[in-house]
Amino acid sequence: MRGVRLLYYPGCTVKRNALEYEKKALEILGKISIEVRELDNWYCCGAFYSLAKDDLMKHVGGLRTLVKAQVQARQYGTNKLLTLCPMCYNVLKRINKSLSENPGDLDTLSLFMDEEERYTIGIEVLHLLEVLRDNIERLKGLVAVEVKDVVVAPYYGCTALRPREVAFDNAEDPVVMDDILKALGIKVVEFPFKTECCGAYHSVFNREIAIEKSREILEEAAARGANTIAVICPLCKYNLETALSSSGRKLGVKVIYLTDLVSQVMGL
Amino acid sequence: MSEALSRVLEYSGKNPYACYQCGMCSAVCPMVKFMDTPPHNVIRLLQIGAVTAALSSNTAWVCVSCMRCVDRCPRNVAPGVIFEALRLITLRQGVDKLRYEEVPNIEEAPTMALVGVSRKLTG
Repeated sequence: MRGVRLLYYPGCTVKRNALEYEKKALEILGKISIEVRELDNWYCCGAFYSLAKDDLMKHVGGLRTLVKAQVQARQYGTNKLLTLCPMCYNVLKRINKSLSENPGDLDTLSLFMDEEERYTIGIEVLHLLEVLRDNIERLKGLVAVEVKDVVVAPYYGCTALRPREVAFDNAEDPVVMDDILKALGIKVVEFPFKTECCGAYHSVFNREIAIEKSREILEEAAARGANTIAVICPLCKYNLETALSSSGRKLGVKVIYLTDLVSQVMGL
Repeated sequence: MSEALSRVLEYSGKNPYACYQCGMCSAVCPMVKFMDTPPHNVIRLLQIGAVTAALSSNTAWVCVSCMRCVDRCPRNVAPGVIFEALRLITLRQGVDKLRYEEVPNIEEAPTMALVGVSRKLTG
């Protein structure tokens, strides 16, 4: 059987602020024989899905990326598009869904794109967590190091799980990350703030709001006995770390990407 | 119906009159404590035609479109979508809510946060 292949859309933040997240993720996928090819050309997804009925223009960047993926899908023999950033995942998946429900919108958006071929809505957008979940048995077989002393509060953030129609797990009580960590022998605490908001972009212009929101998450994790918060989003990580460094008292928790834990267990 | 209110309906594709004021949106909103008017009260303002009051509350600007209220709303009023319409009514008048020169540590902010804030707070 040929190995699984995925196209990969990194997005702006992974390439600028989260290169270590990408490096570890690609290493892990390589170990479970998943071939990943980065799109040779891609555009900004827009970070936030445009919610207005008459604001289709904001979908053009995301749609161009999906068209690029469609072209390279033929060359590479897969229609699956991997994302690491949950906001990229959210936006691309919602554009896909809305275009399939509103074919007229695809006609309108196609008017903006002179050079590109028409999108046939055939790209399947995936998040890294889904790929790890689907390969959990192979990951288990690669456990090389027993990780002791690490107690994790899994933190999912908002955009991987909301709105409901793009979620790959229960938005009220997701367990995907919990299951992956437990399967690798890592201790996980019950964490009711799994999908609390970190403050999102408030950290740019209204830091106090982001710090207060993130501090609630840090304090809850500490109160639950966790010493590590595992994240999948560069913005969640930035906000939680900003709150951590501005916190007067020692909370005894650190914030790391899920991929750091997985690669540590695999001895990478 | 006022012109402003018809624009809210047109931009959002949602119907504030379907709201029966259960308060679910305000109960689940992670940002409600930073708002001067909770989400369900903003929807009520729209129902009674007080669009100016809805536009002058900070609610839509504090909202980060997490979609929690949208998922939970039992009437599919989707306050988080209506707030996008309220933002756009202001932004499309050429009023920006963010001044880049006043952003502290703009170099260290993750790109996605800068893109996000530009999308939501500037026209």
